[in-house]
Amino acid sequence: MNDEILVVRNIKKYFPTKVKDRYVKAIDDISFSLRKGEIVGLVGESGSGKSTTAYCIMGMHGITAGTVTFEGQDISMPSSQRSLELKRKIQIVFQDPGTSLNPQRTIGDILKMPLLVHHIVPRAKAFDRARELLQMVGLPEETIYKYPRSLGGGERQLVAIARALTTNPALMVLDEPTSALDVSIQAKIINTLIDLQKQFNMSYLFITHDMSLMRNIADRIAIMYLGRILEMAPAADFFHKPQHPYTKMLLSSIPVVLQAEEELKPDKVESTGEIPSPVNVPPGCRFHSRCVYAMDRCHTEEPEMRVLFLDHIAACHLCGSAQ
Amino acid sequence: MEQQDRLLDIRNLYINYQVYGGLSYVIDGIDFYAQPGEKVGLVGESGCGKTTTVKSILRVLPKQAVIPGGEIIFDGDDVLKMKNNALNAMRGQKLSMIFQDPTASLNPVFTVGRQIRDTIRYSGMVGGNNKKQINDLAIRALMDCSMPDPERILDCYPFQLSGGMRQRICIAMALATASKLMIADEPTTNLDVTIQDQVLKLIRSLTEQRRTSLILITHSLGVAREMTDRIYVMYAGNIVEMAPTATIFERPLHPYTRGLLASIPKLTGEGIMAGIAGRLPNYINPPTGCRFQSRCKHCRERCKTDKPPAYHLGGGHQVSCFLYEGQKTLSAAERIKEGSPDER
Repeated sequence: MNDEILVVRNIKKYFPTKVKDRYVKAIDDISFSLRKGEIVGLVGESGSGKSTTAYCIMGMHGITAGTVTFEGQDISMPSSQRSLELKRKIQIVFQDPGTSLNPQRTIGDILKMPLLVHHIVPRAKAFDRARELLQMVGLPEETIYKYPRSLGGGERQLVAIARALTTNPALMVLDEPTSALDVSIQAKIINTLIDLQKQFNMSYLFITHDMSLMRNIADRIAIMYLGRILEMAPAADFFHKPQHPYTKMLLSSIPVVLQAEEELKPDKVESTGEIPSPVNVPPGCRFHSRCVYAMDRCHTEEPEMRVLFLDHIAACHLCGSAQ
Repeated sequence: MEQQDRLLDIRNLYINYQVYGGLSYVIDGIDFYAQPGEKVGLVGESGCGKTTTVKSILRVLPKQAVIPGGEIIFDGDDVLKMKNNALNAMRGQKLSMIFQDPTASLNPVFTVGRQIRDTIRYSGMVGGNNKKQINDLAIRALMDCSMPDPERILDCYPFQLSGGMRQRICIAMALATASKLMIADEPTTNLDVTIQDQVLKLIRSLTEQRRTSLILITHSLGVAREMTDRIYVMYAGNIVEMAPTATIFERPLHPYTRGLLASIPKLTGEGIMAGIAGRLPNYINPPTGCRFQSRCKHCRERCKTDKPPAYHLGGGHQVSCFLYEGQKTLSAAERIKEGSPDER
């Protein structure tokens, strides 16, 4: 399709361990795409490879196998080999704004740096542009003279977002931007992000473990488990017709505050077990050790990704056979 | 309800911290109680004083903390006046606490077994130093927490176990000694939702079986809704609202509670609400009057000068906000009939 801005095809990322020929299979063959102006949520437990996927797209890690294509151009190389032009178009916001902002620089300096590196505006205008950026994310002008330590967590994250916006990116990777923040502050950050996304028609790859948040902002959601995508579908579909047993387990574990939400949860699938080590990935379906529906076949044969409905894919032996 | 029924009763407690810039007035006169076998939630955002409150019950506050006023009555004794011996006995036998980060609360250089056995030995449950009996109790504690293969786990070091397992060991340790009250300080914040679900179920079933009271501290209203009978909502060192769990979610009253509930993304997919603008007030120079005033949409002149008292609205619902002044404030007699806490 033409409107796909980012296409990830069969990427793998293995990290070597101390033992020869044993690898941490952080990402094990995943494929997905991101359309222009779309928000895709990548959801999974810790250790499922969500952040590694983000870092591979950013070029912070080299990829073991597979390709990443951005606007039709192959970007599988690490960031050191990428052009400045390309770096400008893809930006990232990290989880912890406390460590991703330089404590010794004022907010003004932090925002001016990428403006000058990428020659977005002449040096004389950088300060004014930095002020505009702060306005865009809804921070008061005087923030420009402050240091990160004098800002609250939410304000720091807004600065990090403003910094990502300096280069007018087409794609933003958001790596758990609100999971370190309180809910009342999270709401403001998310609203700002959504407004900006509409205003500049950016695409977001939103990495999080919060399914309820994704339900409200994402167009499509991909559920990752142990380096694989198990199910990917439009956000609302997950609540009307979840397919994969893992998705059901995940959804029924979410603590909610309304009775109406309680009713939306799929029939209770008891959550059992823990995510296995990515060094010893179970044979067959990688979820079988925790799956209540596991059959003999699941222990030996890895299920293929099947298209079940429009835009809705899942990898499970139980799914698709009925349709 | 009779006050003698209360296992824990905190009355008008103030806690200050001595910090570089002066005195930080953190806990600002709170009342809090828990009955035997009751599960109480303490909900609020980070930095609002939840942990400080419960640490004062165990008297494990850092040495910069000063308690200028208030009483903490636990099981008939005033904790703040206790001598060290009595305090240790109380901590060993009646009270236990689970912390947020199980990695930090287990000692990395001792095996899990040694740590559980020590807990049992110092609790004074087993007379003398009966190693066999202590070991049996340790295995029993792990089995109760549905840990597979407890003998092997006793010989493991914490780093050999996953986060969920470590938290289960902390729960096992907390419940190994026959305790009357368990305090769980954000026990599942560091865990994934599926593991969180398992750990919460475990805490619930074990506390219910043993009729242990539970104080659950959490910033997640969803977790509190699933786990507790009654919820206290805390903001900037004040209890702003208290009600039975169902009431809080059906009829939240305080503007802060409402804002908090509205900020939570819902599975029903109605989009993201506005959240609450602003941030926590400075504790060194806290505002006079209501501490929520700077973030409140309903703030009036009076809120800036007077601190709102707790209004009792019946059904055990209590809210500290001038908006509810004069709304069915019950007399003492009615309050006892309604089963709501009395005003002191």
